[in-house]
Amino acid sequence: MMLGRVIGNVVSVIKDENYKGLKLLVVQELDMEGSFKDKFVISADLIGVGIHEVVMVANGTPARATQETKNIGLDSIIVAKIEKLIFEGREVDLQ
Amino acid sequence: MFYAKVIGKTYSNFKHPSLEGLDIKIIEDVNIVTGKLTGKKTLAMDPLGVSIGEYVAYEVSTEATWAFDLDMVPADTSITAIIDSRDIGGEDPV
Repeated sequence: MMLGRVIGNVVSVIKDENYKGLKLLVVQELDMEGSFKDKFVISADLIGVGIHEVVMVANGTPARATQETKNIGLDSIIVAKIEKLIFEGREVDLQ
Repeated sequence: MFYAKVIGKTYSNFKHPSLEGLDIKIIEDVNIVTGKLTGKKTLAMDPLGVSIGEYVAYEVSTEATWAFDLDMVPADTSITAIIDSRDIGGEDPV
């Protein structure tokens, strides 16, 4: 699962019929130290997250394994907000 | 499936309904022959409740969605087995 931070959103009027009503956010991947990696993805926001928040993204076919997206052609959805990362006995600062 | 070590955990109290009650762990890939950490870290869904420090096998992509009782879970990386020991090329199992 990809760790990322919401850095923006995209607006599209002419798009796949099924995308109507979907919020499309831009997420930049983070490594486990909380610093940016050079990978960006447009993800559908199913749970309502805000900008700059740290989230977890499901990519690929699993992105269609939800009631809301099972018939929609998309491969990236935001599935969780991550408050804390704890490893090697310390907490990674995600602010 | 890939071989990894559970090196950390996360706190998330705002998740998609189908992920409710599931742990999100931090795992790091391990070279199964040398047993050394490879530095490649990622988040993984943990339906087994594995503790930190354990060695596991994990599924990626579509197969990762089948690691749960629910039929629709949006997970692209899931821990599916705790590895007790491995025997590579006749050496002593770890």
